[in-house]
Amino acid sequence: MRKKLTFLLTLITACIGLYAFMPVDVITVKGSDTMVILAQKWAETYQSKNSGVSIRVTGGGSGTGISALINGTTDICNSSRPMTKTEKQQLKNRYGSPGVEVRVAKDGITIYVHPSNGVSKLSIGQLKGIYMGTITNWSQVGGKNARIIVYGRENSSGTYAFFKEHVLGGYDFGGSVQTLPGTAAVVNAVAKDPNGIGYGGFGYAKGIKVCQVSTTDGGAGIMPSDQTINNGSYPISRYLYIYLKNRPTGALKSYVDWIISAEGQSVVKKTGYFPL
Amino acid sequence: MGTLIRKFLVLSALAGLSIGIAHAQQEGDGTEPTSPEEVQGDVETIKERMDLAEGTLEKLTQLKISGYIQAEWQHFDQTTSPQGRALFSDPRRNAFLIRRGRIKFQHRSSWLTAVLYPDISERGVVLKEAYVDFGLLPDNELNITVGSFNRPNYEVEISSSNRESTERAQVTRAFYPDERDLGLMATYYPTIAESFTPKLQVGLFNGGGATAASEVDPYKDIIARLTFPLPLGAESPVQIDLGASLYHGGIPVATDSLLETVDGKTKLVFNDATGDLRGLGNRKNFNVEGQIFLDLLPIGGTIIKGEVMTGSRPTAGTAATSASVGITKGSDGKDSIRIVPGAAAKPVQVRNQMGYYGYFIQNFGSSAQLALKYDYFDRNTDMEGAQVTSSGDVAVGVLGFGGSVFVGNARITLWHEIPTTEQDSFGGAEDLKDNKTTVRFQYKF
Repeated sequence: MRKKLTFLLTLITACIGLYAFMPVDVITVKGSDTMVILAQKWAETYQSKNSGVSIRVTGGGSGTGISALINGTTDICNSSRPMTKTEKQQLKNRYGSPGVEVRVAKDGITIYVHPSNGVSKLSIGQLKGIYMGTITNWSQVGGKNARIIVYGRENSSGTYAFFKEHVLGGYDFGGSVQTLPGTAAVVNAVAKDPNGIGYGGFGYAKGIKVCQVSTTDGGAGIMPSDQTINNGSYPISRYLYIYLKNRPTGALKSYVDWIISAEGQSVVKKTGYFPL
Repeated sequence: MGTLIRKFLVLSALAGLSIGIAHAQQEGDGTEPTSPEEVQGDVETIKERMDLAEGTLEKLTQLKISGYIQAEWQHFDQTTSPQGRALFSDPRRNAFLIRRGRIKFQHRSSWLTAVLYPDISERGVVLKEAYVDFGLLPDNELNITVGSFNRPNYEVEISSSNRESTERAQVTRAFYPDERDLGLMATYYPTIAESFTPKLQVGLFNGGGATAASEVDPYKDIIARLTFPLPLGAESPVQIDLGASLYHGGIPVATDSLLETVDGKTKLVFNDATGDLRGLGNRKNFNVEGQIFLDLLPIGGTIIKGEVMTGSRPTAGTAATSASVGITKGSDGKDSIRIVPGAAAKPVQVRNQMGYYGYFIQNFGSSAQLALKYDYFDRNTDMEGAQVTSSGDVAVGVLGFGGSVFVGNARITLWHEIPTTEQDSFGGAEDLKDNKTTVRFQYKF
């Protein structure tokens, strides 16, 4: 009996030990669509200087990335929103750690409108009305008499969740919001639609007009910039995060350390986001 | 799934557009050129179709399908499992089986979530969960759940696809049969501070379990559970969660027989025979739980967790013996229960029970895990040793150990269990030949 038990224990330990400590040289990164460009730039720059490491980056949205982290199908999760308490609990139950959160950049949720649109400033209250469907015409916010075509993101997006919490106050989006699969698609739609409005990361703001945002209806409009995002005056600024299952070691730790180093943060600036 | 469908639609539209343009160009080589207005019209048509498809896709993205399959091979030390402790009652030394084949359909619409969750295996199809969840406050701060769903308990709420051992502890299975039950539950889960998020669950349930025949009676079971993390800080490598829960309920006993254990012997009791209700078989328990999560070792996270449960459950009892006939006086000297001669054919027996479990888990990165578990369940705390004469009264401890490797969506688990039975007059020995080994392959999607 004791021999059988010893044999079984040895067998289990040996198999699992061998498997667990097989060398890994591929780092998988999954998550936020907002951060895809940034994550790809980080990966390209890092791999060019560290030939032994292979980094695979995919998007899918922050929610998808967090699910992948919990399920063990990614090493790093990019997220444009903090993990929820339920997600942290799931991670804790699986890996014995609530995860490691690393702030890697700042971003201002940017309001995109068509370049021909006369509206240059919107308050948080007006944005809430537009995205909840109570404000439906540009004339209600000082623009021309035309229906507002509202573009947004899918509910797996961290930007969607952040916008919902910080602009809509946790309420649901209106039924007229057309959801698009990525920030690039939102920018593209607004660039072609004179009556369109969309939101997304500042790094994607090309071919559209960036709208100023004020905290109150009569308040001063603020543009997202290095200064306004760093001093917190831009009303809808946020951190961008990476999440890991546990405290990183080896190649993973070196990569994460590099991301928050001066070199990694210079990539943040070049990509159109705001360094820490 | 939504992303794949979307990619397919976009590719189809692009292919359609390319073919349309190529076709227009070919036509242009013939008799008359295609005007820009015609091409623009084609583009508009495709755009309209895309919008229509987007609308349909939007509805599809509200539906999430997930699940897992557990195929396994079990080996028992002997053909029959002593005292009915085996997972399956038919005698066999080893067998392949589908332990669980779960598919979850979840539809989310605004603040409502509906779930249908059947289990499909070679033994048939059983509906495990069917409920609607009302999210009354953002970030799951206040939810109301109605239908058939997990009772509030730590080991019950951990999915079998994520649990380190192949089965739940004996006491969990006894106190929460089927894990799920039909009822209504409120969950309050506020964020008081970043690392302090207590959770209060209070539910009202039928009591019999999700797959049991409905208990149509005025007695509902109440379960309340409070859990909270110690405020050690979000950055702390040590996290501790604590909790306690209370179960208060019962089932009316309409037969003439209600058995209880008095002075180490099973005795027949019942209330005054003036109505249909002859007594209430108490379902009561009090649990204390704790989980310690340690992210201290470079090889991976460590988890130490456990729970103690003590209470009583009504179960099908054995036939009353003549020894049960008589009058029993309560501690105050009065007749608190009346004993009558002549046992009914199907008595119900209420037993005071106690059990606990403890896990030690060591992760190796995210690809492997080793676990050690001990669980103990005393089915009748009022009997011991020679007083134990039936399988329903025996106490059993089970030492389990094993490990899992994770490869993408797959998980392979090897698990071995060594039950140890208390010495009793029913035939128990310290270590009967009833060990069990399980090799499980799981795929989760």
